Amino acid sequence: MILRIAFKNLLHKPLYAGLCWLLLACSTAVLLLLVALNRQAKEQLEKQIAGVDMVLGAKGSPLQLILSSVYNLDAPTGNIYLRDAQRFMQHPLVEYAIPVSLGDSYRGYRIIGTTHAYLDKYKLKPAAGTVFNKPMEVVIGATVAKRAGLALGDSFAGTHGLGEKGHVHDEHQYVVKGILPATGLSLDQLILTPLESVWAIHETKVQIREEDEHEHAENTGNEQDDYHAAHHHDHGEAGTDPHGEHSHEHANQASQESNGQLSPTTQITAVLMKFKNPLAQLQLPRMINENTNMQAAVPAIEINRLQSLLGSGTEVLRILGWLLAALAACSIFVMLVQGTHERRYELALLRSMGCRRGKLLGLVLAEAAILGIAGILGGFLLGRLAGWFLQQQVFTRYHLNFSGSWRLTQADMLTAAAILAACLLAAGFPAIRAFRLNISKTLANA
Amino acid sequence: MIYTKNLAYAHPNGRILQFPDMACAAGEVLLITGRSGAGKTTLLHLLAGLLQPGGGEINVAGTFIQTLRPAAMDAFRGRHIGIIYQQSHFIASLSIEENLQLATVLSHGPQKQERLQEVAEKLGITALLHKKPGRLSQGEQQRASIARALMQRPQLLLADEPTASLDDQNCAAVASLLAEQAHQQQAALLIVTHDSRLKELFANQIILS
Repeated sequence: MILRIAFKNLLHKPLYAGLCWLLLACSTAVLLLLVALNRQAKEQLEKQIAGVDMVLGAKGSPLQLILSSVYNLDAPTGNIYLRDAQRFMQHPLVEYAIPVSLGDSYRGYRIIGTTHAYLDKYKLKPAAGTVFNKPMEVVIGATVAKRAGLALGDSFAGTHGLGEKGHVHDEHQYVVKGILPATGLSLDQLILTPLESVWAIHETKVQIREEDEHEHAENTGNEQDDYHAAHHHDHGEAGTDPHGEHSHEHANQASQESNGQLSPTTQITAVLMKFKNPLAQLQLPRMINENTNMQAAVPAIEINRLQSLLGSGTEVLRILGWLLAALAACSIFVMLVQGTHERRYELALLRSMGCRRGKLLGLVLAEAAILGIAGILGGFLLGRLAGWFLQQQVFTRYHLNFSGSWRLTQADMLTAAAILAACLLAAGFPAIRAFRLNISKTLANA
Repeated sequence: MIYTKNLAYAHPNGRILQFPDMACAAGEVLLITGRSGAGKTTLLHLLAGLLQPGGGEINVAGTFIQTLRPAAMDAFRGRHIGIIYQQSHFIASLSIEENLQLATVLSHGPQKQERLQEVAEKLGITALLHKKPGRLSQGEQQRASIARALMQRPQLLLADEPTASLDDQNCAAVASLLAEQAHQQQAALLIVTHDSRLKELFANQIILS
């Protein structure tokens, strides 16, 4: 009955109750959306770097290198020579090394030249068809298949560059050999092909594009000095662990095979590496950064850096969310103080009809709790809806796939509990006033 | 049904009010009159257990209510005492029907739809049951509040200026209704008033000075 009265009291003042509800719902939505985005971003970012301890690429921004090679977001920092990279790919401390070569795209989807190891990293097999075996054969991600309308056996030509527009390599047609299952990773939006395809297409391009050639000249110049230093070091390490080299031969098979027939100027964009033990994590990146003209970036470090960069933005939003929640609590406070004052005769009447004081306390708290729970539920729906909308409109562009966003987490529950507690706290003073109401005086002054 | 002995009330400002001993048997009516400020409402609140007396004793249906603790007093009041106020108060957000039901719910009495219909019929408010209190006229509100006081078949009915805001016709109607209901239910009816129209209707009177 008390709950019923509380509910009816709220309905009796629909505008006021509506305002409180709206404030509560908005604050809850903002806070829960933040919680969800933070969690999802973290999960997504960390899922992608699983199995990649270090990325070897051209000098430049380490964050850019990670974003371009692991997350397939940014433009690459440049190319490195396969010959240089191979010294580290065959390093005894390296468990596996996956070379990637970027440069072309199809309808905005990146074509990545790599080896089977790329798929092995995800333990993936094509859902339909087979893996690529020969140059110009490709395996495409689930999203690519769906959005670009590619099926098994279809052929297409890549566009130079990572944008939607650019020079089309009409003379080289890719053939779809396999389609990967959906993973929720950026892999869904990739087209994978053997390294040789990329080399074959760009053999001619090197001569056509002057700036590429210029870059080559520069790189070859620097590279000579570094080569010896790196080589020397490498040799020493290899000597201590002669068995290591043998064991990862498989992972590097494709690149080794191609090595024989390719000129020393063969380039790749980056190498994704996993180490055998944490020791390498300390040694190799520093060694590469100090002694070669290549760059080693550690994804875990870069992602932490990225998150701390984005952190200040979410912090502002979080403060805004709590501010809204405080405002909602204030409006509940005002509504209840005013309400209990206006309805003090009703409260006295309830007492005179045999209602215990505790129930009056409960009545006021129940009003706040009903509003709080309704607001939190509304905010939850609103927040998830906003999340879903963002997913549809914005995040697909960044290869971010926020799945399972309807799931409730502990952080959600904590936020909801904190908001409910704020509501009840706001109701505390009016509730205590109702509890201590002097019914005789109230009724006498009627 | 109710009697008091040496009842006194200590006002917070230090003034002490002494009340004459009084008694009222089941089915009878006792009119308590006096000029404004003589402590009529205070007496009513003491009898209803809304105020704690400064001394003396009050016995309602065999219980000395001054000894009851607040929670027990609330429960006792809900079960045994029906109060009719000068200004009728209702829970504005509930309908008349729900307001009447509230009396039984709050005192944990048996909920019977027949009782509601019976009381509503007696007081002629059956057609008003689904309305919100705010939409009723003064006379209708007063009748509804009498109905609410009767819902629990109380043994003591306390009325505080029940006719002050009513015209002559309604005044007579409400007065006879109250007396009739008290008699039917064998409840003691105490009316606190300075309304001279009522003095002519009830013989049993106590004057506070």
